[in-house]
Amino acid sequence: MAIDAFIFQLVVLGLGLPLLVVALILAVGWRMWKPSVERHSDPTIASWALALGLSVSVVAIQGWPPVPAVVTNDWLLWIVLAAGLIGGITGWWQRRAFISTPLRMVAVGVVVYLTAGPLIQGADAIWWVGGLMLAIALVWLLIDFQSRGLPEPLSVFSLATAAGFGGMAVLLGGTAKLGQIGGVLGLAMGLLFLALALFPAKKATGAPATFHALVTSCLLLNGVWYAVYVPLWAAALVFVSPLAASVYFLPGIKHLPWWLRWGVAMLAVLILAGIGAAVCNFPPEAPVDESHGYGY
Amino acid sequence: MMKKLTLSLFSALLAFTCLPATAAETGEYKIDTVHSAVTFQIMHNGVNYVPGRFNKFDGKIVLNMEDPAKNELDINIDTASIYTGNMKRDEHLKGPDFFNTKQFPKATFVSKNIKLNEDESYSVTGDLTMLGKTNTVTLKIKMTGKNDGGDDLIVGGWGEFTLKRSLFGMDYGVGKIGDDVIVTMHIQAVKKK
Repeated sequence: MAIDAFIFQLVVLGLGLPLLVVALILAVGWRMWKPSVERHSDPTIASWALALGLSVSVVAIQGWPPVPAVVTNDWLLWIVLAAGLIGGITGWWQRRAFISTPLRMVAVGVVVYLTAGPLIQGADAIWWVGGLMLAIALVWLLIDFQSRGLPEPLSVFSLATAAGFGGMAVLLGGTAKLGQIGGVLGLAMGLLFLALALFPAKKATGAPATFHALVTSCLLLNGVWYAVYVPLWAAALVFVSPLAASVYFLPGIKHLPWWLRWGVAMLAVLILAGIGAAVCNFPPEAPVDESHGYGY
Repeated sequence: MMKKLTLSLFSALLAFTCLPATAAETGEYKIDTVHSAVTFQIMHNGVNYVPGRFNKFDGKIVLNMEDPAKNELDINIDTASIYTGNMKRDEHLKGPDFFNTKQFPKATFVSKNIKLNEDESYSVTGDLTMLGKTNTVTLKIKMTGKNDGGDDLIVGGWGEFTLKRSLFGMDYGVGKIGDDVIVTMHIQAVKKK
């Protein structure tokens, strides 16, 4: 039976091929045939795997973006590639905060400005853009801080969950293309989760958090400003949901068996992200327009 | 879809513009949106045409009896007013996959040339702008009537045309959802005497 062109584009090119690219880059770059060897370049490879895989998905789903960009979505491919580059750089120089911190701040500022900037006008614009930038940077910092104490697969799971539910939020809000890209990012991070769980010697370090701060945030901001109904508070709930994994450190949880601690942390993230996404499925009823008179 | 709708509206306006008229009918006509409609239909799954409409639009027709070449048609459609009878589908249509109404709240048509055909219909050529892209389109319009309403002069007409939405960058779901959109417009326009 012939595959429908629409299904081929969305499922084969938009989903299957990107995940294959991520898996291949991880397998070759991480040298899976030497599973117990940790290499300095592992986080950089993980970052590039996510970037290249997601780039394939963005191009398959949205097409090549015009230059210069016409709509905010057109920046997404470049934001994904920039996230790969920044994740790679910060992964390579993990302990050099003087390199990674300015890079991160500039990247977050650019993402917010390009995504939300065109629709935020007037005197409040600088507060909106500045506030969003600081909020995203703060969450990025907290996720980094949290990940130092969490098992790495658990940390990646929380970010994959946020990306997947972020995609669901914008999908339910009326943006199927961005929704699918969010879903692909979530599944790509899911592959990373599996690889890290199977090969504990491998490290992704800050790569998934970079994609969360730059790409998931970009998708959610697009949802808030351009989809029909993605409330800012719901998007924020999805975005901060990885921090719910901090229940892992609570005194009452600490003494549970490891699998139960993981389960509780995963559940906390799922609940928070799930609520944020589910809200987008219930837009308020539009008021009936009676502005035009009626007569013969 | 929006393009089609816009084109339909344009067509109707053009039809009005092209009606045989007297010198008294020269002037600017405003579209009576209460008695007008811009509707569209698009193939779904290769099985059935699904209809929809735009609930908000406005526009004007300028009739020039001395020099028909100076007739004009100017139409604006509020893309966020799209209505297909299903709230979730309407949300999707308003989003970035289709009309991207927050970044492109209007679709416009501006006529450039109007020609009388042998079958007494009119071919109206103009620029249709939607989603930041402009394409030249030609509408075929037929007049349905005109009336002296006392204080007003009223004209009416309808037009139908087909456009390719992908030409405007609206390519979501092509294959499952048709690329060709049939736009039908029923327009009534009024001028104060």
